[in-house]
Amino acid sequence: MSSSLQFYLALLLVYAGVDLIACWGLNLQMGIGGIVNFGFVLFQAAGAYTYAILTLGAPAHNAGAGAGFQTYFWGARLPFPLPFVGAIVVGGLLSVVVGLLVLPRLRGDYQAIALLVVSLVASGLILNDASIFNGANGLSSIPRPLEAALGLSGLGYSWAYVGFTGVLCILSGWVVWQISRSPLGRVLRAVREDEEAAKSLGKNPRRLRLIAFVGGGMLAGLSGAVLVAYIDAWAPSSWGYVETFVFVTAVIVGGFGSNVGVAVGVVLVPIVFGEAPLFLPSLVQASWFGAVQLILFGLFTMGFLWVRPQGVRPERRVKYAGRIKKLGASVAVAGDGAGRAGERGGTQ
Amino acid sequence: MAAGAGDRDDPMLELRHVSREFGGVRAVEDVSFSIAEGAAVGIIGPNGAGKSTVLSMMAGSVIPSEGEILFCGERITGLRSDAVARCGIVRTFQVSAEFAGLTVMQNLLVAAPRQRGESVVGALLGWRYWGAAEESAIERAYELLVKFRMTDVVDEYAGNLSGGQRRLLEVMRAMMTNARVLLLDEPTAGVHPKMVGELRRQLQGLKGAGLTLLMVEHEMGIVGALCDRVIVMARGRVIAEGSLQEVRRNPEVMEAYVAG
Repeated sequence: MSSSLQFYLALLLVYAGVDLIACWGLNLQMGIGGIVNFGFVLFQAAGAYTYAILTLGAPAHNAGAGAGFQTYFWGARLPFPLPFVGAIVVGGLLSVVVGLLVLPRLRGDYQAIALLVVSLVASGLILNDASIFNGANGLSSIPRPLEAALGLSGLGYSWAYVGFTGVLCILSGWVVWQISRSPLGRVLRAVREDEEAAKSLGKNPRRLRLIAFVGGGMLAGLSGAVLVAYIDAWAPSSWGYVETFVFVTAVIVGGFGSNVGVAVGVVLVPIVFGEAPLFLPSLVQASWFGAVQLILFGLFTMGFLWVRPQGVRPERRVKYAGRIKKLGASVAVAGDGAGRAGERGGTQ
Repeated sequence: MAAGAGDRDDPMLELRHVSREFGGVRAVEDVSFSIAEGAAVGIIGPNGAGKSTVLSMMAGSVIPSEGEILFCGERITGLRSDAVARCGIVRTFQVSAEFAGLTVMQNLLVAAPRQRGESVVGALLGWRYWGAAEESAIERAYELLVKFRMTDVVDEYAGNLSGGQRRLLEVMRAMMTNARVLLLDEPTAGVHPKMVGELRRQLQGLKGAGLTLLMVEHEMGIVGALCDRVIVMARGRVIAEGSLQEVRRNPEVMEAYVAG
């Protein structure tokens, strides 16, 4: 395999990992917690910027050095893995602030729009005030973690980074899986289904929604850090609202609420169909690439919501019949009256 | 106000001069009554009488404009509905509020109170931490399913159940919370007549087991069969109280129904 192809492949795998972590976070909010977050990319951006300023060093001190051409409000040079931890923490803290502002007051579409607006306001702010994160030019020359310490070749480092991304994916997957299958995951789904009913059973939807929102925000922050540490630059154009819709499409196509489904969605949407237009140069002009991508994502969302709203691999039904059989020989006792329930029920 | 003699001794739930306004309209005006532990009380009255509002205020989903509500002698006025539910007062809804996308068993398990795995840390610690509590919750849910003759639909999505089964599920779910008072908002609405009998049988069983029941209901058959006492409301006020036979003879009640 040529080295340029290997570089491309490594980049694609890092993208896949980043998208996977982000989409699992979005699924925790949207699929499991029922919070449609159209401002999701803001939390990824928060993680990316946090990683950048925690690795670039103080802006005043490095004037004239490699990164001295850019302005940002504050910076430090923390050792690995602290910048990643910082990105997770900032993603979480920002989610607490935004969550407390938006979640208790708004529901459904209004909530989604409010979150979209929050991300647009933040983007506008950073774009127009260059003293925060260097405005439209963004931050660049962001150091890669342990690049000097490892002393690998460019390609070797790329593959090592793919491995690092893989490990973070496994850890993130473990966290979302533990939450998803636990009583916490079940109560989150209950709030998603009917908030009033959950309240009537003594559950506190405010607390539960905030848990889902902050958990998703922390994963978004991590995904931003993993991305920016590899591509070493980050600007407002990297996190347009369009990016959020790529994630939303991936979750819808893969399967709302299903962590495995979301992984399928990530492979299908940003990777296979996001990259496919690249290989069809005869069909479209290169300048159309972005537009064709967006059209594909839009068609995907509409098509799936129309034909298969549960996604490629829907949320799994947790079955208890087997466990119950173990519980009771009393199944036979129930049998005399169970016919009534069975008339309509049955299994699908 | 004119509560039955037995209720005076030990009121479990008490409303004192409760009123509620909605944008200048007084939906409920100066309502007072008390319910003894283990009693079954029905609230009846024409549409718009304020019955559901009274029930919602007891459940904490509507805050009274005036007056106070006491549960076992303690003030619960103004508590949020989830806090009221944790005290042991659990309601069902006029339109069934099952978690449609969850199975029957999951609906029941959600209701199990204070599950260890409901905190973030608990969830991350995994099955070893919360598994035992989960198993005992499954056992309790199973006992309810047997009692309510619904073991066949344990893995069915609640959204696929019939209207009557949904009602039964709501009642079972309330039982999973260890409720001490069950507030039923028109439990027979939209339920097939055949299932009404089953629902009544189950509610009678719960009453027999000592659960305190309060129901807002239009179907007099189930009110007559279950309720020891009936409160009649019209235009936001309590206009009569007593057994169903007594209030039926009350001319004011007759007038309210005809005029209301």
